[in-house]
Amino acid sequence: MNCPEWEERVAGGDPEAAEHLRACPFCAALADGLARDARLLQTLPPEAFAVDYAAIRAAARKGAVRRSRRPKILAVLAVAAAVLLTVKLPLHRQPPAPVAKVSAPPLVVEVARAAPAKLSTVPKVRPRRRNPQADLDRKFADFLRTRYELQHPAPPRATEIATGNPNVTILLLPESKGEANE
Amino acid sequence: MNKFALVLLLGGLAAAQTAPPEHGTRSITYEFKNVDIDRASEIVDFVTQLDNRVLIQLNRPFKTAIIQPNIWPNANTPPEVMEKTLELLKRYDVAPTPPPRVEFVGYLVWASFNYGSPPGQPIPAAIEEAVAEMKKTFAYTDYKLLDTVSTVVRHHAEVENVLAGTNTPGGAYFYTFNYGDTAVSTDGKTVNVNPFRFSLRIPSGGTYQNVGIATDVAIREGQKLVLGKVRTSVNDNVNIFLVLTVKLH
Repeated sequence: MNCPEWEERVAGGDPEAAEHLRACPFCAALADGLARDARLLQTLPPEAFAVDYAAIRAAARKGAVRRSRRPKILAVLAVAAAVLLTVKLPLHRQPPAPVAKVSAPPLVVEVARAAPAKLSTVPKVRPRRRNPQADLDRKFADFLRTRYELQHPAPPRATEIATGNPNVTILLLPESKGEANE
Repeated sequence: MNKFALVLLLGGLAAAQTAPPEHGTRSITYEFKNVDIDRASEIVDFVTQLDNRVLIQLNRPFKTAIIQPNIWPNANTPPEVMEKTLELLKRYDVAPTPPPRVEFVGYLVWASFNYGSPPGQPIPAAIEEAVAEMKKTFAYTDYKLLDTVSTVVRHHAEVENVLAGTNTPGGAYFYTFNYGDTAVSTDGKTVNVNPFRFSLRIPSGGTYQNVGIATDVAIREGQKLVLGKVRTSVNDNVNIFLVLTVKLH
């Protein structure tokens, strides 16, 4: 018997299908989904059937009234905006300040050609472009290193004698008694 | 009317041909070609953890990986995820850099306190700095080189030899180096030996007595690892130390 046939039995609740479900992850997923759907159907909220139709109608009427007022308001605002644009009301301009008449020699402005000024002395840090392949290869290298360290844990250092030379390590080990291959 | 019936018939046949695909037909099999089975296992483990929507089973005898959709947490694994997984397996199916040749050089050092004229040779330059540190650490007054043993190790190795200059009336001393599982770290700088054993067979009343040391070792090139101490039957003030070094070629 193949999976489609078992699926029919699973859907029909055949107890013989239980053995197959243990061995087949696909049919097991189907059975799980069916069970979940059944649970959802059984747990429909009862208040869904107790509807206050009067409240719904009242809310609908209120919404309709609001919707009918909204175009009128928008039309008025549009007309006002059109009038403002045509008349060009200087709403955003400040009144000109009074200017005193002063006789002064004309200003001489010397313009020196200097190097373009830097906006900031802080060097710009360009975001490093991410290389997904390189990241993946780094992950793989980390994975291999971690696995190696798990398989070859660092030997215990309890017997290590510190020396002044970083290239020299002294390990004073307990001697095997009789059997060296213990 | 006949044409209508024919159209119905053809339509029915077409519908019968477009049955939904069966489960299990979506698996992809990939055969590793350039790596050994241990490396293949590492690749499979690595790629599996990248995306939980796929399962990869390694068929060790055939060195093949079977990519299957993982029904948990999502039963609908997109085909492109399967294809991407296949591409990753191919990407890492490349022969790794061969590990360097590991050559251990072990120096057997006699250490004694006011022994008189100890046997052996002067300490060679290769382990002078190690013996200098031993002199700062221990109270021995004499240090001599008894023997030098060079061993190229792939995975395991055992070397047995007669300790030079020990042909006593009771018999000769024998020593044994035993290198257990030997592996080079992924950065190619450190060698791990699990375990390393050094033993000495000492003649004793017509028989032999075994003494020795055993430990896991992690050693890098350029390092001098002083291991000890092993007693001898000469007297309590005479011990043998081992200075272990490694060369990676």
